[in-house]
This record gives sequence, structure tokens and C-alpha cells, in this order.
Amino acid sequence: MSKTKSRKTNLLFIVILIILILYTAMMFGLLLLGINISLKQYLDVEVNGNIFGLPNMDYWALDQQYTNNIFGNYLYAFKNIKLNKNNSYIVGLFVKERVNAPIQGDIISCTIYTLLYAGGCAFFATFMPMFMGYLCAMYKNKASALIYTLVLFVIGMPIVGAMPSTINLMRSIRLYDTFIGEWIRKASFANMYFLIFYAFFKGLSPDFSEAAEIDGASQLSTMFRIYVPLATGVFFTVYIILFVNFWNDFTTPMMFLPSRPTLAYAIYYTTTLDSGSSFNHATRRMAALMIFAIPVIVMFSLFNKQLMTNLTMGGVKE
Amino acid sequence: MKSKKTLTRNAKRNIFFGLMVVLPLLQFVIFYGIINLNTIFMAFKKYEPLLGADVGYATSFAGFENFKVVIEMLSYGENWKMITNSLILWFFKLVVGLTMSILFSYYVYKRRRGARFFRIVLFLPNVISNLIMVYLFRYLVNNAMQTVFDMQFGLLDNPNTNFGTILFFNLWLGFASQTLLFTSAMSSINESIVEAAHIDGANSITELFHITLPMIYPTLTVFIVIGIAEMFVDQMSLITFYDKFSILPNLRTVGYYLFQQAYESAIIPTTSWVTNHDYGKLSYSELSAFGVMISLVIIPISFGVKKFLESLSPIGD
Repeated sequence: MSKTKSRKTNLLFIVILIILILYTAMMFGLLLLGINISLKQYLDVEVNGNIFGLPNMDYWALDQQYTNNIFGNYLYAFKNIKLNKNNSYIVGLFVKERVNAPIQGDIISCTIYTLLYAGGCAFFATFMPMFMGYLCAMYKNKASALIYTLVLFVIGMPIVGAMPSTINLMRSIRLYDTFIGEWIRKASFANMYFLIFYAFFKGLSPDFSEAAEIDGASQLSTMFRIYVPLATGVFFTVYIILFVNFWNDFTTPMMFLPSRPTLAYAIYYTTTLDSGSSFNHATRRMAALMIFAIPVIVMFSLFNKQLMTNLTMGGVKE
Repeated sequence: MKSKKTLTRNAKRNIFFGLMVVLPLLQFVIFYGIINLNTIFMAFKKYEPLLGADVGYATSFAGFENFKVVIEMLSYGENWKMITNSLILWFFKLVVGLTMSILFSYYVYKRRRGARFFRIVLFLPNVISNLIMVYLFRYLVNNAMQTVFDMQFGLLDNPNTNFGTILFFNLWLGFASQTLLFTSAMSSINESIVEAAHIDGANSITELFHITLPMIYPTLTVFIVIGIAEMFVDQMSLITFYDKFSILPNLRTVGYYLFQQAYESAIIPTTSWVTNHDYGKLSYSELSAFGVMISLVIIPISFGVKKFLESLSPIGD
């Protein structure tokens, strides 16, 4: 009887292992396929039909622009990830005004925009829940209890279709298409990260605060000199997770930052939306996508231990 | 004296608290409260261009006109499929996705062969952009398979296989974040309970059903409720699978439709859906009405399911 049970257990884990192996094989197989394609001259794929084989250097030898250079597609992508499009919208609450803001960017400006968007939004989206999490955990009063309940309510409240209203509001208050506007919009505390920081600060002793106050420290310095430094690890983990999310996000910049295209938006536009783009060759598209992926993969390799050990329900653990 | 001191300290703390929460609350009021209220107002408004002016518009009360347009739109052609597609996606994510992520999490939690490695692999979809994964997958199932198997159409261009293929992709990458969070929830189970069960003769399968699942029930509840809340927000990655010209109407989900329309439309769209059912866009007011309609359906369901699941909880608070 117990042998049968043990066999059943082993069988369950063997089945899961097989599925996991297939999952992994597909994941790495696709990434390897992408890297391999990105190293091929486009005629090697389109004329020669070489999809799964290694790059044929004969085709690179014939390439006029990047002769014998296996990284030709990467150089091409660096040079040609560009956006140039007309764009106009109406702003203002009482006095309406048409703004002409052409969508323009090359890889350098798009990278700067990406760093401003991802870096700034990740900072505010991490800082605000930490700030409010600290206040609600350390200051026991009716208002803090109400704020905690409010966050729980907002998290569980499924609201659909607020996008037009958001665009309308951002344009009315002239924050549309600005980084400051996006940073403010992302500086929300009503999300699951609030609960993580709340739980973290709740787990800390209030004795530090009392001792600091006896020593004459102000409420603000107690917060920023004593408690916030203790939350650096959690802050950093949440920041990295959000930075990667914002780095990869192309829909928000497309919708709310049209004339400040991020790399994700520029690559989405040139590889998917722009039908006349020279990135219609799969080889060049793959190279553009790989350039886009490299920074976050490097970041993940550097910080994966910290992310893996800190991750838990809702994002991170104390 | 002591109580006066305490009072002063408490008053100071309350003043500090009050001053500090002003700006975050203002942000919340504007970017959550006003935006959602404005969605409701817009749903009942009609915008018309001002005669002779390049910019600006006149507004009037529209009654339920915008809602009527949405119902007409949903009953036109195959547009109703966006609702069934969203429901199918949600159902598969709930049944297949949740089951698989629980099993994967259990494997990692029990530290079976390669668990640490698989944990990193399962986190990768959170790191690598969906844009990249979609493009690689699209290339494999469309271009590569078409060439290798000499097929007339790739899987994404074939009307018989396109929805299933995209559904598979969404399930495949949907495991990632859930798996990690379930693993963490499982890791917090008290070891002594597990040991006691094993002494009583429980094997890994009975442990999964009688200890692990009941212990992670609150996490499970959260995922099911969040899944319902996101039912009509999920775009099924369609925005990256197809450009707006090549997507077939029967593939769309509500999430995709709302995003795509909001991106291309305006308060007063150049071509309205009312005048041109094939190429026209819903106005922002009509889209808001669509959002209000969905929210009205989904909010009670979401809270009802939450209450129901909580009443079934195998563990106390």
C-alpha cells in the first residue's frame, strides 16, 4: 500500500518535472532562436531559408553595408531605431489649446526617455507606498486605520474603462505628455506595495522612535534617519521589480507620453506598427529586440539572488 | 503632568501625521477619485464640436445614449465575441493556469530536482519584455513553422488555430508570477505541521491536498478574486501579436478593444462608430459607458466571490 502511494508521489513529481523541462526548453529555445536569427544576414533567412541553422557568413560577406560583420543587424538597429511622426492633441481645462508635439526619437534620446520614465516612475511608485506604509504602521489613529481600509478596498475594487477619463484629466491639467505628470500619476500609495511596507514597519519596534524623541529628534528625522534606512532592502527590491516593469512597458508611454518615446515604444512602433519600416526583416527586428532586452537581463543577473530571496506574496518579504 | 506630556506628544504626532498624508491623499483623490467619478460623468455626457472653433467642445446630458451605442456595437457583427473571448481566457487562466502554477510551486517548495533553477526560469517572463516573447513566439509559430512544415498559413494566420495558439501563449507565460508567489506562501507553512503529517503516514500528494492547499487558501482566494477583477482588462497580448490592420474582429478581448479604442479615439473621434461601423471609433464618452457597464457587472461578482470563498475557508483568521 505504502509502495503504491510512494509510486504515485514520484509519478506526480516526474510529470511536473517533465512539464518544467518542456517549459524551460521552450523559453531558452525561443531566446536562442532569437539570438541566432539576429546574427544572420536577412537574405540568409529570407532567400536561403536558414531558420534554425547557424549564421552563414557567405551572406555577410556579400552585405554591402556590414561586410563580414556578424553583428551587422545590431549596428543597423542602433542606427535605425527612429521615430518620426506627427502628433497633436488639445490641452487645458477652461481655455482649450491645440498642442503640436511631433513624435521624434533615436536610440540615444529614447534611452534617456526610458531612464527618466522607468527610473522616475519606479522611484515614486516605490517611495509613496513606503512613506504611507510607515505613517500608517507607526501612527495609530483613526485616520491611519481608515487609510489602511481604503487601500484594501481599492485593491479589491475592479474598475474597468478609466483610460479615456485619465487621458482627459491629464490633458485638462496640462500634465499629459510630461514626465512630471507620469511621475505624479504613478506616485500612488493605494496598491499592494503599501501592504508590504506596512507589514515591514509594523514588525519593527516602536522603541527606536521613543528613544529618538527623548534625544530630541524630530518626527521627520526619526522617520528618515532611523526607520527608512532599515527598509532599504525592501525598497531596493520593489524598486528593481518596478523598474523592470516600467522599462518593458510600452503601452503607457504610447498612450500618455507620445512625444517622449521610450525604447519599448520606439521598438514596438518600428517593429509592429510601422508597416513601411526597414525592420520588416525578422533578422533586424530580432537584433532591435535583443538590444532592448540586454539591460534588464544584465540587471536581473546582478540582482537575481536578492530578488529571489526577497520575493513573497505581493512582491517582497520582510 | 504625565498625561499632559503624553497629550502633547500625541498631539505632535497627530499633527505630523496629518501634514504628511495631505499630499498622498490629494494624489489619491485626483488620480483615483476624480478619474473614476469623471468616467461615470463622461458616460452620461455628449460632446459636440463648437461651431467655427478649431478646439473646444460643447457638452450636454446624453441620458443613456452612450450605453445604447455600446449595446449596438456589441451586437454588431462578431463584436460580441470580445466578451466570450475574455471569459474563455479567464476560465483557462483560472482552471489550467492556477492548477499548473500550484503544481509548479509545490515542486519548487518541496525542493525537488532542479527546483532553484526552475524558480529562476519561472521568474524570467517578469524580466523579459512581453514584446520580445510575443515576437519570438510569433516568429516560431508563424514564419518558422510555415517554412519548415510547408504550411499554407502560420498558426496565427490560420483562423482555426489563431485563438488557441494565443491562448496557449498566455497560459504558458502566465504561470510565472503566480508560481513564485505561491512558492513563497507555501514556504511560510509551519514545518512541524508537515512533519507531524508525515509521521502519521501522509505522502506528498496527501500533504498537497490536506495541508498545503488549505494553508495557502487565503493566497489562493486573492488570486481568484484578482483574476475576476482582471477578466475584462486582460488584452491577451493581442496588441503585440497583431497590428490594428491584421487583427480579426473575432480574436479581440474586451481589454484589447478598450485599450485600442482609447488609443485611437478622442473625445470627439474623427470618424464615429455610429456613422461608420467598420472603421469608426467609439468616443471617449461611449468608451466610458462601456467601462461603467462592465464595472457594474464585475464589482458585485468580485465581492460576492470573495465573500463566498472566505466562507469556505478551511482555516480560521
